[in-house]
Amino acid sequence: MLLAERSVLVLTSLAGGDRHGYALIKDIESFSGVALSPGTLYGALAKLEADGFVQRLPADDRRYPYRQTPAGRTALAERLAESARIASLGLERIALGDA
Amino acid sequence: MRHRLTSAILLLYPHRVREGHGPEIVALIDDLIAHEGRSRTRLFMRLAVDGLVQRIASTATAWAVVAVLVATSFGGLAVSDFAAANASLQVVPRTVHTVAPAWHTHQTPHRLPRLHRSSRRSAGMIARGLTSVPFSPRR
Repeated sequence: MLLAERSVLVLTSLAGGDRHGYALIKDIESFSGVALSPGTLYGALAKLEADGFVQRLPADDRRYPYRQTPAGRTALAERLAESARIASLGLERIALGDA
Repeated sequence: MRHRLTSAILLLYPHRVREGHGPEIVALIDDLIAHEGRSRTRLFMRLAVDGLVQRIASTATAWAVVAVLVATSFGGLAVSDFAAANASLQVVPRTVHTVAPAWHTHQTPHRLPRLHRSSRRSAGMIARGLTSVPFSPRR
Protein backbone atom coordinates (compact mmCIF):
# COMPACT_ATOMS: atom_id res chain seq x y z
CA MET A 1 0.00 0.00 0.00
CA LEU A 2 1.31 3.43 -0.92
CA LEU A 3 1.28 5.77 2.07
CA ALA A 4 0.25 9.36 1.45
CA GLU A 5 2.77 12.07 2.24
CA ARG A 6 0.90 13.27 5.32
CA SER A 7 0.66 9.70 6.60
CA VAL A 8 4.43 9.38 6.24
CA LEU A 9 4.85 12.55 8.27
CA VAL A 10 2.52 11.29 11.01
CA LEU A 11 4.15 7.85 11.15
CA THR A 12 7.62 9.41 11.20
CA SER A 13 6.60 11.56 14.13
CA LEU A 14 5.07 8.60 15.99
CA ALA A 15 8.24 6.58 15.35
CA GLY A 16 9.81 8.86 17.97
CA GLY A 17 7.22 8.00 20.61
CA ASP A 18 3.55 8.29 21.51
CA ARG A 19 2.02 11.71 20.84
CA HIS A 20 -1.36 13.40 20.88
CA GLY A 21 -2.63 15.79 18.21
CA TYR A 22 -0.98 19.01 19.34
CA ALA A 23 2.41 17.32 19.94
CA LEU A 24 2.17 15.69 16.52
CA ILE A 25 1.55 19.01 14.78
CA LYS A 26 4.46 20.66 16.59
CA ASP A 27 6.84 17.76 15.92
CA ILE A 28 5.94 17.50 12.23
CA GLU A 29 6.39 21.24 11.84
CA SER A 30 9.79 21.07 13.50
CA PHE A 31 11.29 18.31 11.33
CA SER A 32 9.55 18.97 8.00
CA GLY A 33 8.37 22.56 8.04
CA VAL A 34 4.87 21.37 7.16
CA ALA A 35 2.09 22.83 9.31
CA LEU A 36 -0.72 20.28 9.21
CA SER A 37 -4.18 21.60 9.97
CA PRO A 38 -6.30 19.80 12.60
CA GLY A 39 -8.62 18.42 9.92
CA THR A 40 -5.77 17.08 7.80
CA LEU A 41 -4.05 15.55 10.82
CA TYR A 42 -7.13 13.73 12.06
CA GLY A 43 -8.09 12.68 8.55
CA ALA A 44 -4.69 11.02 8.26
CA LEU A 45 -4.94 9.53 11.76
CA ALA A 46 -8.40 8.11 10.99
CA LYS A 47 -7.06 6.45 7.84
CA LEU A 48 -3.96 5.12 9.60
CA GLU A 49 -6.07 3.80 12.47
CA ALA A 50 -8.45 2.08 10.04
CA ASP A 51 -5.46 0.48 8.29
CA GLY A 52 -4.06 -0.72 11.62
CA PHE A 53 -0.93 1.42 11.40
CA VAL A 54 -1.59 3.43 14.57
CA GLN A 55 -3.61 2.79 17.70
CA ARG A 56 -5.31 5.25 19.98
CA LEU A 57 -4.32 5.03 23.62
CA PRO A 58 -6.59 5.88 26.58
CA ALA A 59 -7.51 9.56 26.79
CA ASP A 60 -5.67 12.14 28.80
CA ASP A 61 -8.46 14.72 29.29
CA ARG A 62 -9.84 15.19 25.73
CA ARG A 63 -6.49 14.38 24.17
CA TYR A 64 -5.83 10.85 22.98
CA PRO A 65 -2.20 9.89 22.47
CA TYR A 66 -1.44 7.72 19.43
CA ARG A 67 1.05 4.89 19.12
CA GLN A 68 2.56 3.33 16.04
CA THR A 69 1.79 -0.36 15.61
CA PRO A 70 4.33 -2.91 14.30
CA ALA A 71 2.44 -2.90 10.98
CA GLY A 72 2.77 0.87 10.86
CA ARG A 73 6.49 0.64 11.55
CA THR A 74 6.91 -1.88 8.73
CA ALA A 75 4.88 0.22 6.30
CA LEU A 76 6.88 3.32 7.17
CA ALA A 77 10.20 1.49 6.80
CA GLU A 78 9.18 0.20 3.36
CA ARG A 79 7.97 3.60 2.23
CA LEU A 80 11.12 5.37 3.44
CA ALA A 81 13.36 2.74 1.84
CA GLU A 82 11.55 3.27 -1.47
CA SER A 83 11.91 7.04 -1.12
CA ALA A 84 15.61 6.64 -0.31
CA ARG A 85 16.11 4.45 -3.37
CA ILE A 86 14.40 7.01 -5.62
CA ALA A 87 16.33 9.86 -4.00
CA SER A 88 19.61 8.01 -4.51
CA LEU A 89 18.80 7.30 -8.15
CA GLY A 90 17.76 10.89 -8.74
CA LEU A 91 20.94 12.27 -7.17
CA GLU A 92 23.02 9.83 -9.18
CA ARG A 93 21.42 10.97 -12.44
CA ILE A 94 21.81 14.62 -11.50
CA ALA A 95 25.49 13.98 -10.83
CA LEU A 96 25.88 12.22 -14.19
CA GLY A 97 24.09 15.09 -15.91
CA ASP A 98 26.43 17.62 -14.32
CA ALA A 99 29.56 15.66 -15.27
CA MET B 1 -19.87 29.83 20.54
CA ARG B 2 -16.49 28.61 19.26
CA HIS B 3 -17.32 25.00 20.04
CA ARG B 4 -20.70 25.29 18.33
CA LEU B 5 -19.05 26.70 15.23
CA THR B 6 -16.46 23.92 15.30
CA SER B 7 -19.21 21.32 15.70
CA ALA B 8 -21.08 22.83 12.76
CA ILE B 9 -17.96 22.75 10.57
CA LEU B 10 -17.30 19.16 11.62
CA LEU B 11 -20.56 18.20 9.91
CA LEU B 12 -18.66 18.66 6.66
CA TYR B 13 -16.31 15.80 7.57
CA PRO B 14 -16.91 12.15 6.74
CA HIS B 15 -18.69 10.20 9.45
CA ARG B 16 -15.56 8.23 10.39
CA VAL B 17 -13.54 11.36 11.17
CA ARG B 18 -16.41 13.28 12.78
CA GLU B 19 -17.51 10.52 15.12
CA GLY B 20 -14.08 9.12 15.89
CA HIS B 21 -12.10 12.32 16.29
CA GLY B 22 -14.56 15.24 16.64
CA PRO B 23 -13.83 16.03 20.32
CA GLU B 24 -10.09 15.71 19.66
CA ILE B 25 -10.28 18.22 16.81
CA VAL B 26 -12.11 20.65 19.08
CA ALA B 27 -9.46 20.15 21.77
CA LEU B 28 -6.66 20.64 19.25
CA ILE B 29 -8.16 23.89 17.99
CA ASP B 30 -8.39 25.07 21.60
CA ASP B 31 -4.70 24.21 22.05
CA LEU B 32 -3.65 25.96 18.86
CA ILE B 33 -5.54 29.12 19.80
CA ALA B 34 -4.31 29.05 23.41
CA HIS B 35 -0.64 28.14 22.85
CA GLU B 36 0.13 29.36 19.37
CA GLY B 37 -2.10 32.40 19.16
CA ARG B 38 -3.24 31.32 15.71
CA SER B 39 -5.97 33.22 13.95
CA ARG B 40 -9.37 31.72 14.69
CA THR B 41 -10.77 32.78 11.35
CA ARG B 42 -7.94 31.12 9.47
CA LEU B 43 -8.22 27.96 11.58
CA PHE B 44 -11.94 27.67 10.96
CA MET B 45 -11.58 28.41 7.27
CA ARG B 46 -8.94 25.73 6.89
CA LEU B 47 -10.99 23.32 8.98
CA ALA B 48 -13.94 23.84 6.65
CA VAL B 49 -11.86 23.44 3.50
CA ASP B 50 -10.25 20.25 4.82
CA GLY B 51 -13.68 18.91 5.71
CA LEU B 52 -14.99 19.61 2.23
CA VAL B 53 -11.96 18.02 0.59
CA GLN B 54 -12.25 14.89 2.73
CA ARG B 55 -16.00 14.69 2.16
CA ILE B 56 -15.59 14.98 -1.60
CA ALA B 57 -12.82 12.38 -1.56
CA SER B 58 -14.85 9.90 0.47
CA THR B 59 -17.99 10.52 -1.61
CA ALA B 60 -16.03 10.13 -4.82
CA THR B 61 -14.67 6.81 -3.56
CA ALA B 62 -18.16 5.62 -2.65
CA TRP B 63 -19.52 6.64 -6.06
CA ALA B 64 -16.63 4.93 -7.79
CA VAL B 65 -17.45 1.69 -5.95
CA VAL B 66 -21.14 2.01 -6.87
CA ALA B 67 -20.27 2.72 -10.51
CA VAL B 68 -18.02 -0.34 -10.71
CA LEU B 69 -20.71 -2.55 -9.16
CA VAL B 70 -23.38 -1.27 -11.54
CA ALA B 71 -21.10 -1.61 -14.57
CA THR B 72 -20.10 -5.17 -13.69
CA SER B 73 -23.73 -6.14 -13.02
CA PHE B 74 -24.91 -4.83 -16.38
CA GLY B 75 -21.89 -6.32 -18.08
CA GLY B 76 -22.65 -9.70 -16.55
CA LEU B 77 -26.28 -9.48 -17.63
CA ALA B 78 -25.27 -8.54 -21.16
CA VAL B 79 -22.82 -11.43 -21.38
CA SER B 80 -25.38 -13.92 -20.07
CA ASP B 81 -28.02 -12.60 -22.49
CA PHE B 82 -25.58 -12.89 -25.36
CA ALA B 83 -24.67 -16.42 -24.33
CA ALA B 84 -28.33 -17.37 -24.04
CA ALA B 85 -29.09 -15.90 -27.46
CA ASN B 86 -26.21 -17.80 -28.99
CA ALA B 87 -27.28 -21.02 -27.31
CA SER B 88 -30.84 -20.75 -28.65
CA LEU B 89 -29.52 -20.05 -32.12
CA GLN B 90 -27.42 -23.19 -31.94
CA VAL B 91 -30.32 -25.37 -30.77
CA VAL B 92 -32.73 -24.51 -33.58
CA PRO B 93 -30.71 -25.98 -36.48
CA ARG B 94 -30.00 -29.12 -34.48
CA THR B 95 -33.71 -29.54 -33.83
CA VAL B 96 -34.55 -29.22 -37.48
CA HIS B 97 -31.74 -31.49 -38.44
CA THR B 98 -32.57 -34.23 -36.00
CA VAL B 99 -36.36 -34.25 -36.29
CA ALA B 100 -36.80 -33.79 -39.99
CA PRO B 101 -35.00 -36.79 -41.58
CA ALA B 102 -36.83 -39.34 -43.67
CA TRP B 103 -36.38 -42.24 -41.28
CA HIS B 104 -38.98 -40.66 -38.98
CA THR B 105 -42.01 -42.97 -39.12
CA HIS B 106 -44.81 -43.83 -36.74
CA GLN B 107 -43.14 -47.09 -35.91
CA THR B 108 -39.82 -45.55 -35.08
CA PRO B 109 -40.60 -42.14 -33.70
CA HIS B 110 -37.66 -39.75 -33.72
CA ARG B 111 -35.07 -42.41 -33.61
CA LEU B 112 -31.69 -41.54 -35.00
CA PRO B 113 -29.48 -43.91 -36.90
CA ARG B 114 -26.84 -45.71 -34.91
CA LEU B 115 -24.16 -43.47 -36.29
CA HIS B 116 -25.59 -40.56 -34.28
CA ARG B 117 -26.19 -42.33 -31.05
CA SER B 118 -24.24 -39.85 -29.04
CA SER B 119 -26.86 -37.19 -29.70
CA ARG B 120 -29.91 -39.41 -29.31
CA ARG B 121 -30.81 -38.18 -25.89
CA SER B 122 -30.92 -34.51 -26.84
CA ALA B 123 -32.69 -35.29 -30.08
CA GLY B 124 -35.32 -37.23 -28.20
CA MET B 125 -35.87 -34.46 -25.70
CA ILE B 126 -36.41 -31.93 -28.44
CA ALA B 127 -38.72 -34.24 -30.38
CA ARG B 128 -40.88 -34.96 -27.35
CA GLY B 129 -41.45 -31.29 -26.82
CA LEU B 130 -42.42 -30.74 -30.43
CA THR B 131 -44.70 -33.69 -31.13
CA SER B 132 -45.71 -34.99 -27.69
CA VAL B 133 -44.99 -38.50 -28.96
CA PRO B 134 -43.32 -40.54 -26.23
CA PHE B 135 -39.75 -41.32 -27.01
CA SER B 136 -38.43 -44.78 -26.30
CA PRO B 137 -34.83 -45.29 -27.26
CA ARG B 138 -34.03 -48.68 -28.62
CA ARG B 139 -31.74 -50.71 -26.44
